[in-house]
Amino acid sequence: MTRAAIIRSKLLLLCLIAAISTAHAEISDSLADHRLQEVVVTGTAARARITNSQIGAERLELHTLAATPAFAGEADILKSIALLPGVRAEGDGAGGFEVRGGTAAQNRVMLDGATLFSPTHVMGIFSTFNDRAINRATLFKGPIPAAYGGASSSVLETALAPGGMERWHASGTVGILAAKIAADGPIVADRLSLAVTARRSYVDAFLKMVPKYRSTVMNFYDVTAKLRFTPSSRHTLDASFFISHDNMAVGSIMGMYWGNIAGSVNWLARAGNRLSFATTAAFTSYNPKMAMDVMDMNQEMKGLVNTGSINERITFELSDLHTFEAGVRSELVRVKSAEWTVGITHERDVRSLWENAAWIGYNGQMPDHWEVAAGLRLDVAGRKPYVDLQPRVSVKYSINELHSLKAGGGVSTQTIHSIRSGTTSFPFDRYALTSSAVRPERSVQYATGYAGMTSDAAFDWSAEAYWKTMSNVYDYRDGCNTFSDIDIERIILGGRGRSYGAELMLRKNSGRLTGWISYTISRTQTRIPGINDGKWYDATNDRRHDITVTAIYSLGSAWNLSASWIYLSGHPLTAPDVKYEVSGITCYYYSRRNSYHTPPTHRLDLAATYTHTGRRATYQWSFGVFNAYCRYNPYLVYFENDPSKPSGTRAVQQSLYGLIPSVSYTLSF
Amino acid sequence: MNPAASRIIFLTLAACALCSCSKELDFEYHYIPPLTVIEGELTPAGAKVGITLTTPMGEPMDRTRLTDATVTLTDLTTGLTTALTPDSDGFFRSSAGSTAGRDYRLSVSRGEATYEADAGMFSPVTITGMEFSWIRMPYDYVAALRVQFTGNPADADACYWIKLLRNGEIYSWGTLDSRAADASGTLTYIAITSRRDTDEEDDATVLFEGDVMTAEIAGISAAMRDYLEALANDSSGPAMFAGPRCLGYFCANSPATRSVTFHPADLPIQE
Repeated sequence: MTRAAIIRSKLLLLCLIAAISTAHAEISDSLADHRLQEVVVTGTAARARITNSQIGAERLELHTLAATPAFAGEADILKSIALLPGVRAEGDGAGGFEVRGGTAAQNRVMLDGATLFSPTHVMGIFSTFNDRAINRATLFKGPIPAAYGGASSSVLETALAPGGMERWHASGTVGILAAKIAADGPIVADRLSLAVTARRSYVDAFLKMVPKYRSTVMNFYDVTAKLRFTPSSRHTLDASFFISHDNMAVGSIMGMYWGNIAGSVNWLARAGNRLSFATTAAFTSYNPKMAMDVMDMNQEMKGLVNTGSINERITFELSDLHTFEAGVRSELVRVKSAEWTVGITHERDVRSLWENAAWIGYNGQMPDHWEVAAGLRLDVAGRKPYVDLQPRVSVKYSINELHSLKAGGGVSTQTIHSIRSGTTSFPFDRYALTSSAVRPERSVQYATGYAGMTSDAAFDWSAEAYWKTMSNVYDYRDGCNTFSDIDIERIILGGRGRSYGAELMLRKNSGRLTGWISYTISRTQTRIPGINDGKWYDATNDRRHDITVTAIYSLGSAWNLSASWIYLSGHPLTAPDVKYEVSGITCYYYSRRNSYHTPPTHRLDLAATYTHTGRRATYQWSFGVFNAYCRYNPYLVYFENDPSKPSGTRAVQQSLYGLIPSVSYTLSF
Repeated sequence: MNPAASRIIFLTLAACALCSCSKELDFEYHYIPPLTVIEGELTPAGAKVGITLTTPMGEPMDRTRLTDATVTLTDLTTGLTTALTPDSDGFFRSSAGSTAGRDYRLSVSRGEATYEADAGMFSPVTITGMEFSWIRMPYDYVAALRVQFTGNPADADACYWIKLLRNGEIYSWGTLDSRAADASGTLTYIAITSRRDTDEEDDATVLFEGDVMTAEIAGISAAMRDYLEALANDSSGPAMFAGPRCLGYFCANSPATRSVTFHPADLPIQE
């Protein structure tokens, strides 16, 4: 299958989804009884942003993000964080997010200590994160704390919500695309609790009503479970489990299937008042598979990423002002870059890697308004082995209680490379593991910034600038694609990247109207020998301007309104300069990589929720309009023959979404 | 679900017709100087070389053949060199035959530039079957064309170039390698052609009752396969000619052909 075929199949499936399904809105955790918290939390959050010594760290306010409009009304962490400065969504129809010039594959997404790969449903339209399951998320987009590795761009750390220890709660949501349920409560009061969520799409039901689509299979599900055991006030033991799976198929002719299975055990123990231990054992298995059986010709393509890790983190609070951390991690990674069965031919490319790390960290306050978060991480990977010492430092200077200056820098590496087959990530992208031929990806980032707020925390604002260099960034050789060779090391080339930019943010935190405006100006470039004559070129994920405006308005105790508007400069595009014929077929010649740009993307999304809080239960109606002024944004640009035109050729922009309304109903008790 | 929810969901579904669209872009292409394009093919019947220049994207395809070149073909096994001369259509031709198993070099000199490429000659394949079938896709039935053939056992490393012609005009092409062979050594190539609902079909791909589809299959080298695959992957293709930058290829092959007539009403259906 060629890259063009991959893009076409992806486009086809996405168009199918867009055409036959519609939106629905689902609620966030911002039910009426949470609204009072929101005022408190935002005030606290504003102060936290000023006082946090870690530059580039965003503790996500999930209830606020969940109140923003979302595609098809499905509250989605991965989509919502694109509203933050320095972060943006990959694009329509893709599920990943990009941070400061990095690609989605350079982020590490963790759930209770387990790493998730390509955590998306329906080719990226939704993330696999059920918003009802998550209670905490932190995005490290700047210098990453020493405790985290395996990501050259950012780390998104999320945690499943534990079950309540006092009473049971349950909720159910019905939308047009999917339904979900959540339940949590004590098994043994004050000792053992359970939280479970499940979500299942029912697009199939609608497909079966349309004769044309009757043989089409399209469904996904995800399930989370968290068991918390608290034998004493000093010990907490969590066992977390996550599974997600997507099935997309056309009868028995062709199908695509992918999903994550992950689990972890986290044991948090305190020894005295100042010493604590966090022990985590986690595993993940990611299994993408494509199969085709047309006219007795069978093809099957599979991949696999298995990881198993154990992590120990020791925290010692010397005093209220000084905290030390140390930790070790050992992880075994097994990557099946590809396994192909074509007729009787069977090929596979499997690699394993053992990666070990140790780190130390310090977080403390100095005299004269200074605060430091510093760490040193040592990564040792492979048999060769690759040894990398990674210093990471953030320094904050508090001008006063309302204003602070921050600066930082850090090195981080990544041993699992995801090689994208298109301009965005895709569940069937191939993975390459660090080996004698493929070096670990390495990034060095420097950042500096200022944060300030008003004395009542009603407004806060920030400005950050960064400079990042990346080495051992891999891409397919010119003319190669996912299926060019089973040995991925023969079809990829390594090079360098650089990114620099500035991020501005203004937030309003109190009153009926809350929200924020963010603006990012940045440039990202790549240089890979063998591509573009070895010269620097704008990276595919380069976006010069990125603006978001988000507003949430409370219309009393029942109604909440929200709106978000985004603007993104066009992304670089490799377009032909001239054309010619080979054996009668029109071919194009591309003199430079990414030397053109697509039109810009902009969109307005609206949402409204009505919440009724009763004695025993709360119900909520959520309504949304995605892309309210029906802007057709570029998803794919291609060139084709058009005999009706004097030139015989035309450039075509394919868009995925027009205006998409949504609605959902949630009952909680 | 209560009736109110059903109504709201139904209305939302109905309002969702405004999804997905394509539109033409007003595109400003960059100017680059024209590049030389060489298409050289050597078969047992003789050699044919066409030389053209690239065409700016905003202009109609310029198929004017350049004849101000010196073109020679050398049999690297015997050392014999043959000069090709242009015909009335602008193609450089030679009727000198070629032999499977031998290597050949095409040399093109134009102005101060000389371009050279080598190619090995492969034996002809045997086409064993060719048939259409409807297969079910999410949006419609499409006609899949299956072509089966066997290569020559002597050409174990051969790849294959499959050209499909509709009523004698090029329709599409693709490549295969030995991985597509079954236990008996038969290779299968499948091309997706026309939709059943021809009103929805693009003129470039639609097939009508009585159209004759011809498969022309030839063994090619792995380098030629890589070149063709790169073209299909939006690349300009690896440079096949030594010398200054030029586009195109040189291929030595022995094409086999077979035809089938398209009768949409008679095709079997695969669900």
